[in-house]
Amino acid sequence: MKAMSLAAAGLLLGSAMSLGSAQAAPKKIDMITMTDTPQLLEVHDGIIKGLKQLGYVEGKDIQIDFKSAQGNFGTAQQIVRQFVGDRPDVIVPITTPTSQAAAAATKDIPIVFTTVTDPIAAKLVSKLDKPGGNISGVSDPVPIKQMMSMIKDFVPGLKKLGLVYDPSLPNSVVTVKQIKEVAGSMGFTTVESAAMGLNNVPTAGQALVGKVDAVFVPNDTTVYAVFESLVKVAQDGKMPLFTSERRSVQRGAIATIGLDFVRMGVVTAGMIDKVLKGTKPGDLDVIDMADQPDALALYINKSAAEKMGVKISPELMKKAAEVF
Amino acid sequence: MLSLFALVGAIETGLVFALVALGSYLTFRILDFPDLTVEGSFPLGAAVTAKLMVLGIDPWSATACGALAGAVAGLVTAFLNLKLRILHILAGILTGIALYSVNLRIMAGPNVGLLNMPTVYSFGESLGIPSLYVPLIVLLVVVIVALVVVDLFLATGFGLAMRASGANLRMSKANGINTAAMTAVGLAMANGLTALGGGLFAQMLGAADVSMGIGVIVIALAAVIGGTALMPSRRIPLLTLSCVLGSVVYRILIAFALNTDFIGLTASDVNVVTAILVVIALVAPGRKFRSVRVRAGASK
Repeated sequence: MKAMSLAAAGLLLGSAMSLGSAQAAPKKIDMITMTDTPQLLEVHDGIIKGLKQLGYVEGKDIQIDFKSAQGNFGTAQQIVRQFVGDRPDVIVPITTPTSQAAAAATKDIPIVFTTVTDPIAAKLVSKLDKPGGNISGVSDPVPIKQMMSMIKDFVPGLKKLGLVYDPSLPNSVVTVKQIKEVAGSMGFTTVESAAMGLNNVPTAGQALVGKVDAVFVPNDTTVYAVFESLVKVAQDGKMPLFTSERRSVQRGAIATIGLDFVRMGVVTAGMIDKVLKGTKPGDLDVIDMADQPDALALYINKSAAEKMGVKISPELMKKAAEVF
Repeated sequence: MLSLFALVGAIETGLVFALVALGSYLTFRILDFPDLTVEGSFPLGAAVTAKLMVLGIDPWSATACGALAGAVAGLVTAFLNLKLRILHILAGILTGIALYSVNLRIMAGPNVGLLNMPTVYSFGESLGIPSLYVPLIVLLVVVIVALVVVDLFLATGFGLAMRASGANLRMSKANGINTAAMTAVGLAMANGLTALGGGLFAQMLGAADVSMGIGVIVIALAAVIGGTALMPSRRIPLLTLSCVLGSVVYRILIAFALNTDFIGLTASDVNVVTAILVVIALVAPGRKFRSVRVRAGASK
């Protein structure tokens, strides 16, 4: 009952807000992504979805300009400069390098970053609580401990965990470092296998066959771009493969405790909403996705487990949010 | 259509890559040495500059060290080619991919943030120059100095010998020119210029990133070829100037490509729009340029 009335109040508030802003000029939201990888596009879709849920109507209340640097840093720099010239109400950079470029380009236009694994290491903010200045956002540190204990649920005898990742990606490097930090206390060691560029992903997987009890892939856009090639290696070598996002489980990994990227976009939209209503980004705490309720969920791919020689207990199956 | 910020941003980025284009002009055109080291030396310059700045070295010295590191990378390519007899294009590729790992080591990771740190662009605040124009001014000065140095160098006896060894290797050797030294010096200069661009770009971008080198060679060659098409000449100072012009025009074309939402193009179309604009820029002026285009393609 209470929830109902809250929802009703929310609706009322939402419609009041859209009525109010209908008279004003639409708010401008300028969004940039570094690459067009599926996860990043999901974040983008989530932001659009979240804004819609909050009552914004595109073209009326808000005007969204979305651009991709297509992996090129020169283009990223130019897009950010163009945004600054547009004087939008908020700039929303997706990924670490675009966030840094935006932060370097303007000290007064509000910035809400998203999909940044470690905003302090990236020098975007100096602290996570009320960071100050014109910038705040949503970070996506991987829930390392939960993920590692999940792998142990599937592979109880885990002694050696292989890690396939691209060392040029900041997010992956941070994750791998964190896994190495917890590995000892959780009773396993790690074996790294670097995949520099798309072509080297299968080779990086093959290098681990026979040497490890399971393989984990961090949130790595390079590996996910050609993920099927790694799945094939894992199946041929009977190597249980685990990942850090939902979509890759659908594509052939055994399981993940995943951050939902659409959900991350929705959370980002919530912060954008606050900024559009006049809150300074510097007064908003950086949101850690792992702390969000229902941001984490267990996803299982049953046939992938069979192909890689892993038996799933009924208790685990019960815990799954979704089984493919 | 194009805001002042977008225009200034395009010119700045163009000037940074003009340094790379100048380097590639030295290798591809003067030395006849297709050098692909630049894909590694551009982020190398950024990595060294960023690392030293984080360690507390002042940004100008850090940038100079970054450029020096690039020059050393050029010498490595020269060594592979001249001493170990590895094919020139392969020597550059080898150095380039090795630098990828080296850059990861230097930065102790793929990315070093430089936000809120004093950079070569910081002095403008104390002088009261609007922050929008500071990078533009710094880069203009750096590019002009680089142009003058390269032009003066190519006019010296040493520079003429370098041009001769690129134009006709056997004749030059027969006339007593140490062509190996010419190649080594040329590669060091070219990669030093490229790394200088990398260091300056990182400070503008607020970070050095190991992936910064991707596609740099294509951009540089587009600038060299496009520049010669825009401003055909046989005189060295005009040819080097045309590299800078080509680079800036290329960036302005990208800025226009980024502004095409109104005709229904989306974020993912920018590369093809840019390519089409470059083709139009090369073809549209008509016969006069068409002959240049063919000559540019045929000569090397």
